[in-house]
Amino acid sequence: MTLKTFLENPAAWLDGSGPLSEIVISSRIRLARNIARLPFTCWAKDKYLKEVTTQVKSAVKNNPFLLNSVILDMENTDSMIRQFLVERHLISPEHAKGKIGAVVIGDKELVNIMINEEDHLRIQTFSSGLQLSSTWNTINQIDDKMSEKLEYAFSPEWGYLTACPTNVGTGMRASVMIHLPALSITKQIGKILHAVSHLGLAIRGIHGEGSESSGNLFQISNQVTLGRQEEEILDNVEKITQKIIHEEQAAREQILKQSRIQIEDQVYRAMAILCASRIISFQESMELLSAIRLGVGINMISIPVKILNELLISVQPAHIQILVQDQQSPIEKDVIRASVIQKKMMEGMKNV
Amino acid sequence: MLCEMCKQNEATVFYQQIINDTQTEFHLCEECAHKKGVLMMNQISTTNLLGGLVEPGTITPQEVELRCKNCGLNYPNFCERGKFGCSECYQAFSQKLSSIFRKIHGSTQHTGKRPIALAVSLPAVSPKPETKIEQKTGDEIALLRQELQVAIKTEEFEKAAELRDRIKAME
Repeated sequence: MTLKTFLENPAAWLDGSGPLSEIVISSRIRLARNIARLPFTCWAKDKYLKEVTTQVKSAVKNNPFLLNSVILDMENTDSMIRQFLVERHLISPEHAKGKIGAVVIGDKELVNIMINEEDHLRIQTFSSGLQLSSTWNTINQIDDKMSEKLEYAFSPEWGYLTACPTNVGTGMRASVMIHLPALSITKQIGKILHAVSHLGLAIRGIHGEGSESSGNLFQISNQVTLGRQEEEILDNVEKITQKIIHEEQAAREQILKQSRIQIEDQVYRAMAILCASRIISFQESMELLSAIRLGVGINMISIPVKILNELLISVQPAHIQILVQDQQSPIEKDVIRASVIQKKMMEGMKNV
Repeated sequence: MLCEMCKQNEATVFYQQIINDTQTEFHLCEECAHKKGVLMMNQISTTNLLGGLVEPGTITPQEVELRCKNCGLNYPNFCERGKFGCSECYQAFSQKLSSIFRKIHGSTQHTGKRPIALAVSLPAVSPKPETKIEQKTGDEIALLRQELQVAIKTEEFEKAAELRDRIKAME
């Protein structure tokens, strides 16, 4: 599988088929797992990192959920490709810094396993819209299969043992990527962030820990991993997400009532610029895509959510870099980005 | 990206300042962030993730002796980096872990799934015997938890936060 194949085949979780997919882009669950007694990644010498990679790869071979998966070794992956994988959420920014390890990418990018991230294994599953319980069913089965082949580090008292004490127990992080433009416009987002942090959840930018938000996209996830069952944690994330969606919808009604013409202006201007501009930066395209997604959500315009989701991935810097020759100036990258967007928008309007 | 202040080190701290609706952004290295007073609170620093939970300054001589037999990591090393060395470190540092886990998770007992092979061989989790006083606190916590669920359902986020803090303090 080449990079071209990745570029031509967007991840299936972007297809907009899931519940509430205008507001919730995706649901993701990751499980942190380690192999008993082998040193954790940040302390491990090369020979142990290699040992972990070999063991996990061999367990992957027998996993029915990971047939047809692609394995990329970090040693053979240059920094641009690593960034490309980060942008697709296939590896984390931390994993991108790793020396020895690999990433296992499942069919249609719905499942992946990072080998030698902070923990020996970080298994992830994705799905479209807000559907944490089905996402959990999948990852739970994959994890069970892996545990037949690997001796997981586990204690009956503390659960799955992880490198960082913040992940111990279930080792599970459940997160939803959510678009909250109206709460941002009405400046209520700060209040929501504050309330959520008091409920054992965190809101971050779209690439997880330490990343900033762009295009009004946020990631809501659980913080607590010990002392609660997986289903309980998922239920909590899902319920609070639904409350936030409810707040977002109320804010949308409010801004439509108070300043409909200004919102229409923003949405239609965004359409015009994305369809017609010749030079566009990453930041500007994220802002305009946010306005268009809002326009779709309030039935002002009609563009398939799938198109908007795919653009969120394909306008990012490394995705554009791959399309251009080396040594091009930033302006030329912005020219390529404008043409990528234009093509996709035309496709979107044809499908309406 | 280089630090905007010293223009020498890699910027690792992103700092956003909002004063009277005017937003200013800085990309700084950890050293300059400290100088600017941005990193006064430990939570942003990536080197000591445990922040205030484990303070290296308060480590006793006995704690220095705590060492994992499997990987060789000692307790001060663990505190400094905030990461265990291997699965066996949990056993080696077990006496210190309850208070750390309680601060992070508000709990010290795993109740979630188990690896299949173990799920068959191990008995189900049974609650530890509790003294009468703890039992009473337990009942109160259960009541507060119920109130918390109601507060979440009715969107009284502030009340929910307060209840959560009370539960945390009692555990």
